[in-house]
Amino acid sequence: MERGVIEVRDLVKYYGGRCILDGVDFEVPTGCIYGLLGRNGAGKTTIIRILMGLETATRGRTFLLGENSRRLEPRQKSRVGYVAEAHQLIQNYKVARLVALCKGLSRRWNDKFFKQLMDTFRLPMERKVKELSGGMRAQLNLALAMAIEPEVLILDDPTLGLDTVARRQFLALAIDLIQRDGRTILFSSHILSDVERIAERIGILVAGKLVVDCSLDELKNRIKKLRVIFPQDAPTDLHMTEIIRQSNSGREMVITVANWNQQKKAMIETFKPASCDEIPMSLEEIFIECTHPEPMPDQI
Amino acid sequence: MNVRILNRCRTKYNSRDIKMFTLIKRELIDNIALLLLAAIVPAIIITIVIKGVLEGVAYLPIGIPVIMVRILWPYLLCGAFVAAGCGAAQMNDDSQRKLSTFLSVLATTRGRIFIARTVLGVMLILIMFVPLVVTDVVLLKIFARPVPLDMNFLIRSFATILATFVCCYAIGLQVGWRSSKLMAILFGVALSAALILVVAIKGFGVESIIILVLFTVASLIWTWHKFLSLPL
Amino acid sequence: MNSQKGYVINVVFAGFMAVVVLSTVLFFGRFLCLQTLLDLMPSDMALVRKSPSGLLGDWDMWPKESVTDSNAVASPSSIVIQADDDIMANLGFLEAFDPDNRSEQLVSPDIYGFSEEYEGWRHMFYFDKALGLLVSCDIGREGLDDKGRWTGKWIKKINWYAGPRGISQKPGGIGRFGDFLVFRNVWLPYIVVFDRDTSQFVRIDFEKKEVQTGPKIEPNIVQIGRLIKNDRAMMGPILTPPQRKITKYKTRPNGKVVEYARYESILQKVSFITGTGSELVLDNSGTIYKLNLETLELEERIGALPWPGVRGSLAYEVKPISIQGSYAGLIAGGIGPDIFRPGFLVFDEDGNPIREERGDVELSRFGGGPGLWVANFVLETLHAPILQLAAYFTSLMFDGADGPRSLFILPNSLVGRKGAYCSREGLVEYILGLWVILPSLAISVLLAWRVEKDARKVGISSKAKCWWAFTTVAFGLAAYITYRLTRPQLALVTCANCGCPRRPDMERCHRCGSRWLVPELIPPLWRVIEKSRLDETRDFSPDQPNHEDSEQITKK
Repeated sequence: MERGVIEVRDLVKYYGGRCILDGVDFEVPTGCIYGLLGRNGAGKTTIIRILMGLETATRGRTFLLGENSRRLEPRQKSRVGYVAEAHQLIQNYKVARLVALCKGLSRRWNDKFFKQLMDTFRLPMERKVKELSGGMRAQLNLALAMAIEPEVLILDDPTLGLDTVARRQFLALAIDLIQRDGRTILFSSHILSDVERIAERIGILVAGKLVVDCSLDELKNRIKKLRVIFPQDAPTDLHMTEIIRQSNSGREMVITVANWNQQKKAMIETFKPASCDEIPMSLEEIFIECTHPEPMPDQI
Repeated sequence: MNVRILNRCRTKYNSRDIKMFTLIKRELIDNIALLLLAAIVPAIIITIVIKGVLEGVAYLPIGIPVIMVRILWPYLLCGAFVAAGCGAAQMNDDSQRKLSTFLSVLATTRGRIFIARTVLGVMLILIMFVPLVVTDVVLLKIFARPVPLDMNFLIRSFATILATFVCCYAIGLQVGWRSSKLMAILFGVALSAALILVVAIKGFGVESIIILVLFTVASLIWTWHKFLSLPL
Repeated sequence: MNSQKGYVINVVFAGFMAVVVLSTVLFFGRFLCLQTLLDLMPSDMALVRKSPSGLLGDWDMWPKESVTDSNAVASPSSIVIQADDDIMANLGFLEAFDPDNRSEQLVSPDIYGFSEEYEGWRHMFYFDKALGLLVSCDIGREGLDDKGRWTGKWIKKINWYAGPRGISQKPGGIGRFGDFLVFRNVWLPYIVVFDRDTSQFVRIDFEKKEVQTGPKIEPNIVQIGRLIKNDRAMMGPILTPPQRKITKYKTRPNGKVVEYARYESILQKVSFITGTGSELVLDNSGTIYKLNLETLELEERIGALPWPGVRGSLAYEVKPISIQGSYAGLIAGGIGPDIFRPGFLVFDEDGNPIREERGDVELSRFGGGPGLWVANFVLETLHAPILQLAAYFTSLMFDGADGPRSLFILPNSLVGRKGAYCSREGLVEYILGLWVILPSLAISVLLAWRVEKDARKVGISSKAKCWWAFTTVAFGLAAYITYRLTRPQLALVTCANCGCPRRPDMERCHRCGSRWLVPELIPPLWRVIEKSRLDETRDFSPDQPNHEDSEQITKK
């Protein structure tokens, strides 16, 4: 049975008495670029840390490269590049020493590629890590993660702290990596335009559950935002399932629906609307619709 | 075919050795100050012993110079507290600087990180222990009367002292994972004091050694288990 | 290692650590109580005195006819023994400062060296373990330094090797000693060895170069000559001969008359030896014999230790008494297993017991006594019942000197002493005497109930709960501490179904069995899930529940 590179099965996590994840299930197949999204505190970093074996799950299991995350062997870890949120590096080491340490602990190290990255990022080897700026630390972290030629890249908000140019450089590198065979990327980010550019599948966490787990195209097909104008006041008894958000204003109804299909279309048409136009949404707009419980002020 | 498998195994184990060496080297460089601190203890004790022996040798009837016996308790106390403090400082350093968080995502395991840490601890204890033993042996060879010595007492004493150092270091590792370095060290020293009291009650001998060795094993295994499962 | 096995290992090791640390803390609590008790105790209570001694015959009381001065006041002879009021003397760490006094010397010394110094040389006897022979030698240094001290390389001149079959200047052909005891009196030209392998005394005369072997003897000899054990723990026995106090008057130059007293011990010829030609020996059972140094035979039994067996005493010392060179008897004083019980026996020259005194502590006689005794008992009670049970049945197996240092099994505790006493009374009394463990058991049962209650709250399985209850009853406070250290550190969450605290790491509530609900999280009802290409090829057979990841209990 083929397994995904990354598997999360019924993951539950409590911090103290507070539930963060309440049964999360998803898989990242080989070669897929998976964007994991959610608001602050949704549990993205928690999932990633549990995957990397840095945390234990309260219930459920996670698998990385076919092995339970709690029992990852060095040979599996050597195939994974990880960039942590806030770029946790050893602060009082010089860059050169940190590099030597990572090199000493890796099974595969592409020195040429690493040097190329360091030149691109223009990182000083003789400076201490704590003396680098936030962006430079992020670049160093990326370079270290990529130098081991990983099969899987797990990036937890990797562009945090990068300026626009550096972010673009990173994206270019990521795309370059994607184009190599069999690479898998799981990443979380708050910059959804970047996610939209490179992700193939999207997962969105809301209230401890993964409410979206599909390809980007499928997401855009299945979540629709419609502006419906009715001849009279918009009906209040539109009993449609899977309404994400609905706002009525006189004759106008703006409705965001999940899993848009013919049936739902027919249901609207029973009210004989004057017009029904789709409002195209970017990933960012879809994300806001899915995760924001109340209408935004400009929508009232 | 067999040669290829053999070479692959050799490469695998060589590669594992190299990674362990990298981890041990990292611990060594990071904690050089602790090793230097540990070296101070035997340096002071050895100076006192040599001075005492050279100034005029008073012997106990068991044939050993008096100073070598009188120095045992101060040596045990200093060494035990230093060992506990070093263990606590090592573990606390990891927790504050998130060393294991960084290392454990690389191609290594928490178990190896812990083993590398204890290797440093062993080196630390040997630095505190071996020079004094060597000094005593050399001094006894030079200054002891040419009659058979009652070495049992010294052997028992040194064995107990070594067991105490190892045990106190293990306790330091166990209690070091705290938010405050000072509290970690104080806690380690306090718990070590309880174990030193065991030696005070039982004296230097097999009973003390057995209790200390079992305590060390218990402490190390508990710490190992905790370290392997705690969130980083 | 799965988490079940890991948990068990954790518990075992944490338990061991808890037992050690708790025992150490309780030890010093008891130490404090006992030391305070000794400090508060009137000095006459830890002291046993008898006057007159009974050993000096007519000289015991001041012979009235020899008093010529009407101002003389006579005091008869007396024997005193006192437990040392510093019970630290019983702890092991003092051996580091005085390794000669360790109790192994009772049995068989590895080396027994004597040293006389003359003109920079030391005359020594020692036992060469490798050769198995006693060696007489002279050692000295090369020369003098400018401070007049002998310095330089050591020089050694072997005089004689002595073995069980002779003396020789060469080590071969004279047998070898294995396990032995040795005695030497500096005034005698020979040394006496008891060869335990052959149960014979051997006299080695280095001057006459002869070795004489005595007959085989029955008793298992443990000491020769100075019969002493753990003398740090007591003062005495001291025999004070009769004294007279004579009041004198002196006129000062200023005309003032001053009174002063002079003490005279009338009996100048009392000495603490057995007389010429014999020495004391002690066997394992505590019986004292006289050894004829000429024939190397044991003469009559002349005394015994106040407590049965060498092992039964915390400390002892035997003092032979001679009057004007003639053996008059001996005093065997010692401290029993209980540090508060000094005592002595006095034997006359024929070995008949003529005096017996043993101390006893009357707690009501001094303030704080009962309270401290109760505090001590409470601290003993906090020890594990299983260890107390072991103390009850095994207290007689312990050496008296080990009792004050016991950490785990306490032969000197109330339970231990009760066991020792009842064991001599018969089987029924022995069993009935176990009531003394009831207070400790009561505390353990209470703790076990608390453990069981908490275990139920945190959803520990029934099997584990039983084990914990049983272990807590057996190990008491140590088990309770272990439980608190190793219990699952989880924040319990209120079950939405039954309203009781439940564990978040379990699939179902361990009380009502309901599945998990998280009412504080309100996810939307819609989902946009697209199966990955892997899901499409999979047959979705459910994974086996992984017991390594979470503890699951089945609701009964």
